[in-house]
Amino acid sequence: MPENVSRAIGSPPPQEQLLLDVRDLKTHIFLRSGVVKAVDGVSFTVGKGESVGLVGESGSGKTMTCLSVIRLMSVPTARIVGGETWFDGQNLMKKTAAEMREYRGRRIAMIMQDALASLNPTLTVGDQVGEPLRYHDRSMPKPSRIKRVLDVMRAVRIAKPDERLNEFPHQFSGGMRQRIVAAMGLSTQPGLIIADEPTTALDVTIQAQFLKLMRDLQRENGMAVLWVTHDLGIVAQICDRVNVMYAGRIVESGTVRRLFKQPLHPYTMGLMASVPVLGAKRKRLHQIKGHPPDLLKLPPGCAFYDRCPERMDVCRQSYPPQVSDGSGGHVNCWARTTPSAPALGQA
Amino acid sequence: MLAQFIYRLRRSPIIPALILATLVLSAIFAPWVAPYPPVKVDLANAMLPPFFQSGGSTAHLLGTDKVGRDILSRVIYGGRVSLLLAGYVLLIGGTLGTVLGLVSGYMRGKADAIIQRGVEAILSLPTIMVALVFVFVLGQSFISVVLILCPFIAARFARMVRGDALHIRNMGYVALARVAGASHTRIIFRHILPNVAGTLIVIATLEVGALILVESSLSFLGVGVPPPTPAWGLMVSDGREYLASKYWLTLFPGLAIVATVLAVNWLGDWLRDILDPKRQFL
Repeated sequence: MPENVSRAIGSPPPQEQLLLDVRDLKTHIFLRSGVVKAVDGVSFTVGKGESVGLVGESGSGKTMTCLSVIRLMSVPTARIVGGETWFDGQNLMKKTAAEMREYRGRRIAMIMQDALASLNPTLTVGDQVGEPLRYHDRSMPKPSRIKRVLDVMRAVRIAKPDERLNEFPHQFSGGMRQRIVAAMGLSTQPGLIIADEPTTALDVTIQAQFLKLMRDLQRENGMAVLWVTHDLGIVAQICDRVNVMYAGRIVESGTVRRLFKQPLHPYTMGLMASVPVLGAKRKRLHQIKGHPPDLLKLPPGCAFYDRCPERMDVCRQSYPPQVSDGSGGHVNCWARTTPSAPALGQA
Repeated sequence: MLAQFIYRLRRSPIIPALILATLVLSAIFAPWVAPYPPVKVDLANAMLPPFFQSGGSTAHLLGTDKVGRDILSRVIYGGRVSLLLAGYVLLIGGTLGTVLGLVSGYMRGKADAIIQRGVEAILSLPTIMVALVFVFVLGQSFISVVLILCPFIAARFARMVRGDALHIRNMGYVALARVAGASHTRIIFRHILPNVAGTLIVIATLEVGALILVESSLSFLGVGVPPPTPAWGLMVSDGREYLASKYWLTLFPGLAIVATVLAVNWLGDWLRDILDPKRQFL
């Protein structure tokens, strides 16, 4: 396994502009039947005010990566076994549990998938939007907390927030609930928001509204957003840079422009080809053959080997090295190791 | 016709509500409602039958016992003992059990294992037998009866609440609270407790019935609240030897027990249906 995978750089923000810098993060799940390398040497960066995408199919380790950043595990037997996460110049891996709680929600907020499940049916919306404030600033007097709650509710475009403050989640529509969840994340004015598939439960029009809202909020507050998704459409709309994850590793990263114009990894190419194009005459969508690999029995070489149309013998034996894409990004693929490799110039 | 009638009764429990309201109110205002003090002995008027029987008088509506104490007054005051005892036990045992159940279900792991083994141990004990032993050790008093029953109620609460907490801890809002930096204590009391409130109300009502029965059984066995405090179980026990001839000594306190337990269970069933989110009427 080559050792130069420690740093993923995609049009990298200069050092002083770095907000989040994840280096060679490894989170493994220890089961009786073996060790699942859910996150296996992931590195990426997010600059201040930047939008970065983390793309991959279900089970590729996206959510596990995000939770590892804030050092929370959804599975009791999961453990961070290696790597560092630097946030605003501080190494989060060195923080105590109490210090870590100060980061969660206050400096790094997370928006979760299902908005309906993300809201407590027994608390009013106003109470819930104000909850993160109460976790982090107990001394904040109630009037100023309510004022802040009203501000963020207004920011996420909830009409008449002072009236709706005392209503319960079931009195809100799906799109509004998702905006309430966003308001909870925004209430503490965090530097980074991790949005874990925030639009999967929404229909397409509401999804578009929500994305626009997030983009506007980002412009207003200058916060960075890490978009975790399997939806390339979202990535194309709002991200500056993208990281593509496969089987617990980042296999390709680069600017959105480059990635969409010229995907380098065969897996990324497959993903692009399986997105429906409006007006295109194609009967069936492209499908990547085979299934994602069994994370308990990962091969020593490239995890995509079995499904790869460009596989070579070397791919099975050792993990591919990191190859620069020439514009700050990189790809991990043996087929791209020589500049004359056929697919590099291909759109 | 009958089925329809019963169904309508179940939908709005007027009868159990009325029974309970009467009981609670008369227990609270016993000194004003009861015609006589419950321990007032009147040997001249001992063993009077109820008013509707020959020899009975309207002065003692439900008759008198072997030392001439008014049965009606004793039944009313007995309600005080039963309801107070149920209240204390639910308050102390229920609170303890709820907290244990919440911790157990939310934390899982070692804490859960330890708490649940304790719960199982308590639930496997026969209530009456243990109570008998402990009353002999602690001495017979209202407080010792309360203290003995608390662990049993706590165990039942802990078991039920744990089940709910296990489910709720996996909800999105708990994950979101964790991600937003909430402490475990805050999550347990702010997010999980309100969501088990429905369950708590239901178990509490169902347990009231069970508690009154146990208290009566203990009194009947002579290890409950000590005489001459009027307690329903004690009255039934006292009248047992005259069962063949002087039925009113046992019938009326017995009826009080039946009515209370039935009413409370009825109300509990109804509450369970109302609070069950899966059975919502549109």
